[in-house]
Amino acid sequence: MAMPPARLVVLLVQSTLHGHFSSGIIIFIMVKYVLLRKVKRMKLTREDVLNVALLSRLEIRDDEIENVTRQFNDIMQHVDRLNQVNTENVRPTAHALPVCNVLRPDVRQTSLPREKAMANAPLAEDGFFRVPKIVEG
Amino acid sequence: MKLYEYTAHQLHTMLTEKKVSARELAESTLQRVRNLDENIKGYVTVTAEQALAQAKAVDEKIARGEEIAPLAGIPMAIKDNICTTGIKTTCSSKILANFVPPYDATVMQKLQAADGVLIGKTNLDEFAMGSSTENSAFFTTSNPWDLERVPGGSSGGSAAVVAADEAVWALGSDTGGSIRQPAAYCGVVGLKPTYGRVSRYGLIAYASSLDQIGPLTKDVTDCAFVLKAISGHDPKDSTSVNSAAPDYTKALVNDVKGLRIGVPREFFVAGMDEEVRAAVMAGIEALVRQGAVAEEVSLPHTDYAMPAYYVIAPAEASSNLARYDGVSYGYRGEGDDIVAMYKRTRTEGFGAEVKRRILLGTYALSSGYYDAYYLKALKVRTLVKQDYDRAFEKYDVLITPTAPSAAFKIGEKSADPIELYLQDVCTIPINLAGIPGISLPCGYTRSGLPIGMQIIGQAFSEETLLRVAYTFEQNTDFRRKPSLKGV
Repeated sequence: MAMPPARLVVLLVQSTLHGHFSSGIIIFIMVKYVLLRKVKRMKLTREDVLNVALLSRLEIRDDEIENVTRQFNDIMQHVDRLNQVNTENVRPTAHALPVCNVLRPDVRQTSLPREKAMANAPLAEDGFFRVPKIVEG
Repeated sequence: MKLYEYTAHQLHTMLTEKKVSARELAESTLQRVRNLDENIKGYVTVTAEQALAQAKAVDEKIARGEEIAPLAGIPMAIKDNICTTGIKTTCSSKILANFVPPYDATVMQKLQAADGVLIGKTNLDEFAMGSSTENSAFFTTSNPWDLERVPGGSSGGSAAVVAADEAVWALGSDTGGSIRQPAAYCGVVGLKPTYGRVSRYGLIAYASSLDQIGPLTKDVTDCAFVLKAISGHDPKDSTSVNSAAPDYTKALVNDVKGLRIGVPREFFVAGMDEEVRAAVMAGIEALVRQGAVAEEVSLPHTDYAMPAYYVIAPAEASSNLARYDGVSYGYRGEGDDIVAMYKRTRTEGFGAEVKRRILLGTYALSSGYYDAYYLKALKVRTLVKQDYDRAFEKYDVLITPTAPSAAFKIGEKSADPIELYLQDVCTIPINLAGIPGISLPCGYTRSGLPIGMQIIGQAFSEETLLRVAYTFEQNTDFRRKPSLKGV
C-alpha cells in the first residue's frame, strides 16, 4: 500500500471512466484501503513529536526535529512487533511479584528538617522555594 | 601481590589476623586510583578523606579487640545513582551535577553500619539509561581490558573499577542488564537480585518495577558476602519483601550433582558472536562434568521482551523523571514563566538518550495510545514471565550468554540507538520476570576480551545461583586480571 491515497483515487476514477470497474468494486477497494491504513500504524510526524515534547516539558530545536522524529519512528517500528503476540485473555503484569498495599500505623514520625530538605534548592527565600510567577493578578 | 589485588574475603582474614591495617588498605587503593583513574575514568567523585576516616575507625575497633563485620575496612565503590549523605550523587547527569543528598540510601546505611570504606562514586550512563557509559554527561569510562572499548553499562564505572583493582568491590543497579552486562564486559562477577530482595530506598529511580541494586565483585564468594550485607526488608521501600534474607555465604558449596540446567534456544540465535556461543556452551559442559544435567528448553516469548521493555521502562522513566522541574533541587534553567522555566531546565539538564526515553514513555502513556502500547506491553510481560515459570517447573537454573558479544569499541554503536539496545537482549527478560541472574567470566575471545555467562533462577533462588557459580569458579580457571599495558 505504498501508493498515496490521492493518486489511487485518481487512478480508480480514470479506470471507471474507461469502464474497467463497476462503482461497487471502487467503493469496496476504497473502504479496504482505509481499513488497512488503520491497521498499519501511522508514522509519527514532526508535529506529533513536538506535541509529545510539549507534554514532556522538553524543547526540540529545529535542527534536531528531523533526526528525533526518524529515531522515534525507528523505535516505534521495533515496538510494533508486540502486535504479533496474541494477548487475548492475558492479564497485565505491572509488578513481577504479587505485591499489595503496605500500610503502617498512623503515628507521627520525624522527617527531614526544613533547612536540610531545602539545602539543594536552586532558589529559596524565607523557607520557601522561589519560582517564576504562576498566578496572574 | 599488592594489597589492592586481594578479594574482600581474603582481606577480612588479613585484617582480623592483624597482618594489614584498614588504613594501609585504603591508602593502597587510593594510590591505585591516583595512578590509574586518569585512564580508566571509572570515578565521578573520589572520597579520599572519608575513606581514611572510616579506615581509622575500623583500625580502632580491631585494636580494642572488637569483632568486625566481613566488609569492615574493605575499600568499596558505589554507583553514582545511590544516595550518599553529604557526598554528591549526580546520576552522571547535568541536572543533578551538584546534588548533595540529605539522606543515605538504605544499602548505604547498612554498609556504613558494617564499616565499609567508601573510595568513591562511579560513572554510569545518565540515569542508568544505556549500555556503555557513553551516555554519561561527564565522560566515558574505559574498559580495563582494552582502553578503546566500553566497559558496558549502565554500571560501567563500577565494573571497571573492580576489574582494575581501583576498589575491592562495588554496587551497581540493574534495570535491564546494567549490572550483568558490564560485569561480563569487564570480566567480573555481577548479580541482579530478585526484585524486592534489596531495598531501593535512596536509589534514584529509573524504572521502578524493574530496578534492583546488586554487587559487582572479583569472585563469587565476595558476591555472597556483599549480597548478605545489603539484603533484607525495608519499611521505607514498600516493594521490598517482608522476609528475612538467608545467610548467602552458606550457599558457597562446591556441588552441582543432579542440578537440572535448561539451555534456552532463543538465546543462541543468529547474529550472536561465535566465540561467545562456544565459551558459554563449554561453560555448561564444565558444569555437566561436575554432575549437572543440561538440556535445551524453549522460552517462546523471548523475542518480545525487548519491545515490551522499551515501552515499560520509558513509560516508568517518563513518570519518575517528571520530578526534575528545577524547583526543589537540581539544575534550573531560566524562563519568564513557569512552563518556560520547566522546559529550559529539562532541555538543558537532560542528555539525548534520557530525553528520547522520556518522549517515548510520554507517548506510550498518552491518551489514545495507552492501551495499544503500555497495556499491551504489560500483557506481553505476563507471557514472558510465564515462560520462566514453566521452565522452572523442570529446571533448577537456566544458562545463557550475558551479552551477544564481548565489549565493543567506544563510538562503534552510538549512532543507532536500536543497535545499542540489542546489547541487553539476553538480560532484559530477567528484569521483566523479576527473577535473579548472575554473570561470571566463562572465557576470553581470541583478542583477549572477557566473555560472560548468565545463570538465571526462579524468584528468591539466589542461594542456588551462588552455589552453581561457586562450583563453576572452583572447577575452572577464568578469573584473570587485565594486563593494563600502556597505562
